[in-house]
Amino acid sequence: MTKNRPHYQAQGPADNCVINGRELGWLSCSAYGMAMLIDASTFGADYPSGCTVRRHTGDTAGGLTIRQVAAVARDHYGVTIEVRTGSNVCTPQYAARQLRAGRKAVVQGSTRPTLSTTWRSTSSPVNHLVEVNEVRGGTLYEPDEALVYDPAADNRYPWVDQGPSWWPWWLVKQFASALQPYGEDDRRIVGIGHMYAGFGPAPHVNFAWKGTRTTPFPDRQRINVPRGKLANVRSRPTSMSPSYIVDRRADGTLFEAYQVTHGIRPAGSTSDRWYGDQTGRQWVHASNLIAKGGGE
Amino acid sequence: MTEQEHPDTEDHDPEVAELPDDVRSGHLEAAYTNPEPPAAEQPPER
Repeated sequence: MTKNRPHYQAQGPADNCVINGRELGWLSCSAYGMAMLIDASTFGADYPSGCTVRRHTGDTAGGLTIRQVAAVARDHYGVTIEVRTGSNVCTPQYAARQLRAGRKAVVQGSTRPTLSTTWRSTSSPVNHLVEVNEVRGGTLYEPDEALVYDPAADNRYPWVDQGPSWWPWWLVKQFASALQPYGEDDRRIVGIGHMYAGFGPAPHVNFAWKGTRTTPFPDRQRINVPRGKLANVRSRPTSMSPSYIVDRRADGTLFEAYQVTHGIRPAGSTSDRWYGDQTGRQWVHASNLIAKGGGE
Repeated sequence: MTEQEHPDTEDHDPEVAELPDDVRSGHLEAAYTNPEPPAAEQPPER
């Protein structure tokens, strides 16, 4: 389980969020999506409810914009959001690249393209917002799938999906391009190649043991050990004591290195190079890794 | 050419030339609360 996945929050039902006597649950996808981004971007240090985010906007009328909820993330939780809307709208390729680097995103779109799929969460097209937490597979700019936290995907009816779900990337792109910027009564859409999005900060790295940034960053590597062996993962790169082994990884599994340092040289090795994870609490010796590519 | 000569086409949603900075999402509550599934032309794909 990846550590920086949020707790799923459903926006509904309507009385899930009542402010000043107004039932705002179904009107608050933007607030719930941003709440999950804050949760993931802070590794759970801050996990406001979507309703709390909504309350901080001071707006109790209708839907919300990305800028409104981004301001709440910044002002109340210290999470800076890069807002890419309007003349500053981004491409899906840009979004994929940011997600690949570990940033979290909220993406606006229309549910229209989802209606004929099992990822649907509404009965008719509506401008909506989802949290896109990560991507996997494919290429750097064109992933296969994205892990989507759709605040309306609560399985309230049998045909409604239960989030979070892995959406094919093509559906994320279609969702984004189908956004109707002048409202659902105006047929105009933002169009292919456009994505209204807000991006959380690049992942914080806890540098330890004199670790320095990897190049690329992160450096997506795979465990590379002989048949029948497991790679030791150690809490520190400075000792071969069994007491510092915190995990054992199988051949071929992914290890995302964020830092590299010089530590103890294992007997029989010519290298003292160790790679560390984002937390600085997991280290694998270079001899047990093979570069996979990826990163910035 | 007439529309009859191109039966396998559909209306193209016009794209916006200038994009507004702010778009509200989640404005139509009925889309969320209608218990009827969307009228899909095809079975849901996955």
